[in-house]
Amino acid sequence: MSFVRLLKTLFASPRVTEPASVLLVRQPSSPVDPGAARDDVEAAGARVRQIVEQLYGGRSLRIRAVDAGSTNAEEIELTALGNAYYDIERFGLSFVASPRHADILMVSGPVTRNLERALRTTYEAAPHPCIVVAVGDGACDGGIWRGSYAVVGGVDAVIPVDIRIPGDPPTPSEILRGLAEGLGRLPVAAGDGRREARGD
Amino acid sequence: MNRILLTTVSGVTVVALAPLAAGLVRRFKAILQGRRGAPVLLPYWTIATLLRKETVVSSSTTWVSRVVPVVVLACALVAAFALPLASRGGAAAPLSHLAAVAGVWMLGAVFLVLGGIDSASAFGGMGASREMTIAAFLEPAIIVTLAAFGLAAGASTVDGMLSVAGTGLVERPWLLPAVAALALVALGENSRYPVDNPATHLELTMVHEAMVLEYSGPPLALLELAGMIKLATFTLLVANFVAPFGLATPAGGLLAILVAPVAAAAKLAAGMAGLALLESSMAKLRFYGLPEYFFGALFLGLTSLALGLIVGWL
Amino acid sequence: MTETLVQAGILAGLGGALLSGLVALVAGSARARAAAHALLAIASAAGAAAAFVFLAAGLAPLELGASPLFFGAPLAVDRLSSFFLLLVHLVVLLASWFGWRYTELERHMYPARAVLPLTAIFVAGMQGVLLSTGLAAFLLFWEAMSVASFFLVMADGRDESRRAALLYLAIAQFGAGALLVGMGLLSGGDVLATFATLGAATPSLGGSRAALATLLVVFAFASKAGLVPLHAWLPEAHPRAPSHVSALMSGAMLKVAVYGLLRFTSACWPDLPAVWGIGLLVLGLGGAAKAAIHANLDRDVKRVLAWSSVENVGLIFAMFGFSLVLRGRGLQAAADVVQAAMFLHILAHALFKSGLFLAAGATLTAVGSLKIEALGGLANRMPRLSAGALALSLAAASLPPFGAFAAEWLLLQGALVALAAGDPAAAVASAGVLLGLGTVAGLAVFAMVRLFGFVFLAEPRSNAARAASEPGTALRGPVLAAAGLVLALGVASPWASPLLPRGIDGRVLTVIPFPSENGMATLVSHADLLPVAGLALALAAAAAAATLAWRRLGRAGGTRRYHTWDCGQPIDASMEYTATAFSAPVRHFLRDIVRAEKHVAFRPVVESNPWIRTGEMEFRRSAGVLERVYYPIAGLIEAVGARLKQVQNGVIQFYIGLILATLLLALWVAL
Repeated sequence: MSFVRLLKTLFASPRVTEPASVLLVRQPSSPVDPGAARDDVEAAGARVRQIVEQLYGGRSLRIRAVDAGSTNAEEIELTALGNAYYDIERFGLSFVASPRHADILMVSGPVTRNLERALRTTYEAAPHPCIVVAVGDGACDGGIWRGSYAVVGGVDAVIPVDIRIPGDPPTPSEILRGLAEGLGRLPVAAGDGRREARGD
Repeated sequence: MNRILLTTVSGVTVVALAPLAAGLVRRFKAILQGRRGAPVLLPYWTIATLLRKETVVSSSTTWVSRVVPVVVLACALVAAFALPLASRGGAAAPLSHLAAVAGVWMLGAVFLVLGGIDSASAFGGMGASREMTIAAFLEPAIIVTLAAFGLAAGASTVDGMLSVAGTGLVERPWLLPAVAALALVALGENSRYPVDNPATHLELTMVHEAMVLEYSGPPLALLELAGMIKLATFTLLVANFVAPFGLATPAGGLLAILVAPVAAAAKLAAGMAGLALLESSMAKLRFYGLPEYFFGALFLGLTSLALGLIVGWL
Repeated sequence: MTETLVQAGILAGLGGALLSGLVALVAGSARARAAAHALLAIASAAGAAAAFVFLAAGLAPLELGASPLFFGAPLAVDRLSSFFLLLVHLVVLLASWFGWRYTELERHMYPARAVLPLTAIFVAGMQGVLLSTGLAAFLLFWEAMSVASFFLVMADGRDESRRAALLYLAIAQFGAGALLVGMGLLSGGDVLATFATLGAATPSLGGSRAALATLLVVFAFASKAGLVPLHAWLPEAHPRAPSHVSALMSGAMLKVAVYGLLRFTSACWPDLPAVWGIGLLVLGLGGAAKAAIHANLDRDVKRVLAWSSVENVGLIFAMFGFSLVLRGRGLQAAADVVQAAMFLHILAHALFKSGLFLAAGATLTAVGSLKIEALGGLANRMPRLSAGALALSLAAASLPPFGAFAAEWLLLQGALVALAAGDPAAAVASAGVLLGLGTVAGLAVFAMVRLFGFVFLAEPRSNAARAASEPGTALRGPVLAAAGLVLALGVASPWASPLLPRGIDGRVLTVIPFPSENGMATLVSHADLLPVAGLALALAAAAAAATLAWRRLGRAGGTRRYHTWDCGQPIDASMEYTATAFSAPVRHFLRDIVRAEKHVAFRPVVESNPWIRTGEMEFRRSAGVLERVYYPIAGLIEAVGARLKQVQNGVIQFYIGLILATLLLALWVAL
């Protein structure tokens, strides 16, 4: 690439970042799950909120993505979070290379038996306080593999989960919304009370 | 002006502005990538958050790992206070001697490497081996480059070498390769492109990051702060050789002391913008392609030294 | 009064050493051996104190008494010899303190009854060399030193040790022969010459005779000190001796060889031409670089330390050569600064190298092996010893705030002054020194980090290392004492300069306080080391600040132990990095110099399936100077000898004919 073209690409390319106010509005088409009990939601949400408050309001939280046997669909959506359109970094969230450096563990996939130990080790390696987020249907409750001999069944069968983000896979904006609401950082859009993307 | 005050102001400025510099380079890179990026003050919050977290100590490590963050931060602090970054002629000026500067940087690198070896994992060992190679092979380039400046300025401390900075470079154009060599050394020592990618998650491509994989909580905060201070130190050093304005000197007054942090911030911003542009426009070198880089830095420094000697004999 | 005390102390050092050897030889019990070691330690303490007082009080040269045993030339001490005497006594003190327990623990490997008497002769020989004023006495003590250390090298009786000891002896005898011939040339055949008469006689020598004598003398001392390419015996012989004797050989004997060169130079050639300086400079720096590369490649702890000794000796010779060049070009002040750097480096090297060898010995008693690939994780099992070893390794890497760093500071100071002085030859030499020093320093740091890191850190790589426990105080103490001494040398270096010999020809060392115009330092030749102490203070203060910040601000989290992050898959010690892997970049980047050969051969396990194969890899490092230079020379000598053997044809008439021919030849020459 010629130098002039490089400069044009760096400085003059279109800005495509979606504003936060647009991204984090709850889409009317997403279903609401009436089954989750209100007290559990409040209790788990309180734990997350307490952690976030201890860590200076969650202004800088670092995420470690753990693949516990997923189809990689969630991983691709997580990778998309870093691109120019979604830009997760502007919310102070960034991805790190080691669970020792992490404040949030984003676990995807139903926990296969081969990766059960790995997931537990990762959780133990992360320093407390650590928020565990289950990303995708498989991580939330086993998804389509629930009951299979090859999976343990949902992340909360192995380690305690603080936030669930369902979807197969959840879109990046759903992941962002789930994180934002679970961390209690950004207001829920106008509409009804409970979200299944809340702290659970 | 009181020399101790000059040193203190310079050191405190650099330490206070170092996380801002790290935030700035990330912000500039994000803008060049077409997005907004993290808040500029994010590194301050990162360090504060890390100080509140738990320390997980690996059972394979020894007492040396507990000492590593302290020594690495101590070396970064000494370099930040001794070098002429926001002031010149302070009380710590004799400590910016060529040997002291090279020695302190090497001491910090050595302890970081020992921490990487101590983690008993292949990642730590690999990062340690690479970092030690880079530090060892850049050592002759550092000495020769600073000697070229020392020859031109008639001084053996970096403090004195600044007398040939700025317009002095125009009068002595043979020092320009030395400035380039200093920039190459700075990139190598701080693990930036094209020597290392500081944002990578692939351990096989890590150099600096691989050595800190085992640290968590407050020790990690110390190490990250040390890395930021080192980046700010090198940036201001190179910037001061090119544009030495706004430095507080013993002859200046109170106004100089107030102007110095502002000038330092401006130089940091310009330096970080240049670094972001550099990192966004080139790819990282293969590790086994680095000998050319080392030899390039050494050759530039030697050229400056040789030309300076020849000009002196004419 | 002070003079008599100093004389008594020095003589006590010499006599006490001999007495301790006698006691150990005569009485066989372990208690007697312990008493003998204690006697040696006390004697060397007395000697060290006497030498220190001599230096600190600035006394004039003292005579210690003539004796018909030494051909009438008295033993005497002056500034140069008392500096080296102080150094030797310190090393002997550390070694004898260590050796007391070490020889008991390693009784199965070394014959305890023979080691101490030989060590005593070795020590007495070294002291005698330093104290002799007459050439005959010098040579006598020199030979005693060589032969005693020869026996000590093969003390463990193994075949490789014998081979190494014979190689050492061969080169030592070559050197002694060259020294004898050189002395003969210089003194005109006078057996009773002293250094003083040599100094008077030399100017009248012819040019070629003087050059030949210089070459022979330099060859002798360079081969004993281990200057490349006369170094090949050092990495073979030093590791084989008992650890405290290795410390003595590396720490003290190499310095005595350097002393010999300095003494001859100051006596005979106060104005050695700059050409010799350039030769020593090039040999020294090149050899130091080669040795530093080898130190990165070797896998035995003591061999790495031996190569590090070769590297430091190269640096010392380079500094000496550099100072000769500067003096030859008229830059006297810069030459003085570089010589001060040389002396400081000699003292620092003696302390840290002997400390490192003693630490290796302590590790050997605890683990039973000194192969780096079998060690590891020892810092958890031996915290105090590892702290001492860490300090000594940092000192060996010339890092602040230790003693060798102060020497590098002075050297860089002198080099910068020489650069800016305007003389082309001095400037080119100085540029070479800067380049060489940077390269060697970088590689030396790599080697020392590799040594300490893979011996003491991470997980143990063998069961023996896992089962190791901290050695006792008698073994730990000398290591920690050496570490403390080299740290004190660094921190107190501004006040150590009065101890340095004032140039090798008696001139006063220039010490100018650090000047400041507007606080900005300029380039003046000075030996002021106050900023080194300042740097040590600054590092300590910064470390204290960092620790305080950590404890105060980082209290909230708490601490928890967990195993290393292993990406979720269980790992063990076999997966950690090894020392060979650590030095892979050096091997690769310098592959044209290292010239390692790797042969990989694959064979299919089953003929019908070519995809499942066993592999064999052979990795050979290229032959060094030993195999490419020494063995061919030895082969040549053997071939010549085989030819000459044909004279021994067993025919008695031929022998009588030879006797007749010799008689006739002698008559013809005499008449």
